[in-house]
Amino acid sequence: MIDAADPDAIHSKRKAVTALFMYAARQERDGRRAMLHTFLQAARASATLWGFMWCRITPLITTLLDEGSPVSLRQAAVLALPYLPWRDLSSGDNEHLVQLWVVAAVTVPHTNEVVQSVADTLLQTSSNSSLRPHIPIETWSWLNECPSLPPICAGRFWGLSLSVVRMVRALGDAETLTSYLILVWAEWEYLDDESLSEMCTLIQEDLGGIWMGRYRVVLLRHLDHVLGQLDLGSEYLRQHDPRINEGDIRLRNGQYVELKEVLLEVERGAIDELIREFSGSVALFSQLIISSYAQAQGAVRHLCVRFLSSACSLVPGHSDPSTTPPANRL
Amino acid sequence: MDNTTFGGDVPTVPQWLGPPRSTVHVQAILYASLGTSLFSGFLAMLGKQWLNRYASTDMRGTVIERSQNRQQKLNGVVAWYFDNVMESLPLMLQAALLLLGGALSRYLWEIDTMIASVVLGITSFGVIFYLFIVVAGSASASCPYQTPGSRALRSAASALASATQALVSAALAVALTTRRALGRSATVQNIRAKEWWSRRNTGGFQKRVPRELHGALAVDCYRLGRAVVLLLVAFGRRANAQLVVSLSTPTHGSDQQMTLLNSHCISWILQTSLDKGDHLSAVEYLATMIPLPDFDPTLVTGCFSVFVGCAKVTEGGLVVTQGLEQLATASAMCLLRTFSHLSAVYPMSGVLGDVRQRYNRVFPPDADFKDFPFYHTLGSIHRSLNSGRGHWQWARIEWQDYNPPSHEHIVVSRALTELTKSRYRRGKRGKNVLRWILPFVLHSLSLDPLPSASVVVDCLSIIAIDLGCDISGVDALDERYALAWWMSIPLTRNQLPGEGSFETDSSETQNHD
Repeated sequence: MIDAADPDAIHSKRKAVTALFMYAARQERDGRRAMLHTFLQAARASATLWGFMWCRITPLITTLLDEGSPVSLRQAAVLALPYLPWRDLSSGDNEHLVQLWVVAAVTVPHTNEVVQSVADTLLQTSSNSSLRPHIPIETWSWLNECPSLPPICAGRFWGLSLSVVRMVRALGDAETLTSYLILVWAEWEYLDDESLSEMCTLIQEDLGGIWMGRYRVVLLRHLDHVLGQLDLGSEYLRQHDPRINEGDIRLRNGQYVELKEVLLEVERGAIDELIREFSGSVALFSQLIISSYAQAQGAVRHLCVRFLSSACSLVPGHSDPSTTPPANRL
Repeated sequence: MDNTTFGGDVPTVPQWLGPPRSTVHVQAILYASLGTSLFSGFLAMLGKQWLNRYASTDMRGTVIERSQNRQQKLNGVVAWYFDNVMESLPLMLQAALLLLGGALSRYLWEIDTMIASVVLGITSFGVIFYLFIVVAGSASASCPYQTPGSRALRSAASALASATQALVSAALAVALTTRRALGRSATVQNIRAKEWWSRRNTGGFQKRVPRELHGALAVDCYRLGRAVVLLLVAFGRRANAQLVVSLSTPTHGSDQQMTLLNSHCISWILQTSLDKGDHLSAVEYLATMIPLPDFDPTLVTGCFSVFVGCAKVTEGGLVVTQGLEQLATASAMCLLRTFSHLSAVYPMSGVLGDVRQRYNRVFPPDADFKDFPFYHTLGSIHRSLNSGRGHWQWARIEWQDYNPPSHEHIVVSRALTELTKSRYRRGKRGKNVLRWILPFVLHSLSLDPLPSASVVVDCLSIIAIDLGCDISGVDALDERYALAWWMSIPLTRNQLPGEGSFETDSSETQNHD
């Protein structure tokens, strides 16, 4: 018997394990959830960047996602979808799969696992150029629910590709963009040069300015957390991802420090801009106050004159002050 | 009684007045020859009666029922050594002839040696010729002059060779064991030590050895006694285990006998009958026999012959003779079933290789069975029998639209499971399951509603074998094997620190259901 603790050994048996999925899903429907639970556990433990499940399961999962299926079956399918080999799926019938998945994701209960699964699947799907156009824009709002992804996660890896970064950027929603960056920036992955450059650009262009300050604060806080995790060293990280070595940690540390510096630079620029705008505003306000004061002073004086003239007119033999020459006025 | 009893009369010894002794001997031999001849004639007449009864049709019914009746008679013939009795008739006649020749030679030798030598020569020639053909028949199985004597001689020679081999190996084992035992014996070691010591003190050695050997002998006796006790305990445990197994195993003797009888019947019908209707009845009956015990291997050949008789390949495509579609379907199903069963039960059977060779001669590796009514069965047969060559050239079996009747599904799943088990038993652990079988498992377990329990169990067995579970001694598996395998996966692998396992809210799910 092979050693089940070895992820490669489990992965080598992925076809046999996948063959049990539909049976496990039906067991879940009947209230016996042990098989599905262990299936997901096995898939997760031996997850690779190229998917765990056998591609032959794809049309069968489509039947599970159908609207006529019970919710439990749909939920099982949604939970298993991150382990499909999304990179290998071409257009055609798989467009229908994406559409069914989007509908099913909305209708199943939003547990933490479902949110995590949807985010993982979304990132993987969006990295497939043939499936990307079929993802509805609203689906990206799932990222705003702050899901957490496992250390070895195909979604995060493929979600860091340049095409995905550009796509999220093109959505034009700062909140989604921030959620996306929080999701993909992790101590478990490094960025390729193109993606890093694109992220720096988007930080400067899309997250710059005074009004984006709160997003930058969140991102800075997250980067501090990531850098703190990287500072814990390779031994800690290897407990969850044995592939990590010291070189990886140095590389990732440098990349995230660079991102942080870009963010800080943008933040400084925003503060300068704020100060500039603040000083201008103060001068304007002062001028406004002074002019207002002057105007108020004139009005008061006018009122006093009117009052005195009125008072004088009431005294017999006293002339009207308004009729007196200006030189004699108060 | 003394010399005076008869007085002066001395009684004379009575003389033999009959024929001479040689004539008596000759007569005795001649009567023996006559008796043997008559007895063989008597037996021959009885045999004629027995064979008449055997050949008579004493019941009516379907071809299967009649075949069962015939098979029962045939089994009786085998059980009661009928063929040996019938073969003894010529032997008796030959013996009678030998006796006649011997007696005649003996008789004529007294009268005239010239005439006697002619008879003796002919008789001797006959005996020598008979001995020659016995030796030739025993030396070569292909010799056409086979006699019961040559067969017996061949069996005896084979048994003698085996016995000699066993004796030699036993003698060698005993010698080796004795040598090892002596090498480990405390007594021998003691003597050796003293011998070394005695080179310096030869005088004292002779005196000390008897005194010091007592302890060594006691150690040896103790070891020997312990070994005997352990051996007896082990034997007792083994015998007890065997007894428990034999008591706990349910006896299906009569069922197995009946199934074996039926398999012989079907095999006989398939091999001897030329009527396609009989063939169809036989293979349909075979398809209904779900548990296949130890069956006649020639059943595989029979099914294959029937299938090949209905179908042929032309230009890469399969063509079934018009009107024989049903027979082709049923025979293909039975061929898959019997072949896989034989692979599992007798993986070294020569019938398997023979059927493979014949199949490869008829069906090319790239034969196309698509758009055929029993495409999946044919595909499985092709992959089973033609796996040696052209394995990857042939298109894969598409199971998506496979939704057969329950019985057919059971038969196919059982056949594929037996192929897998056969592979497992042959020790091909690296790839326990043939890759083309897994899509079938995936499809079968994906059907909604699920197929019959038998199919599910078979599919789970295949998965368990592929996962590397030890299934030796297990007849039927279930999902617990897969679960047991999975449960050994560490929970913390690929999980964020502090993250829980996949547990969904059951109440939510049930509400939505």
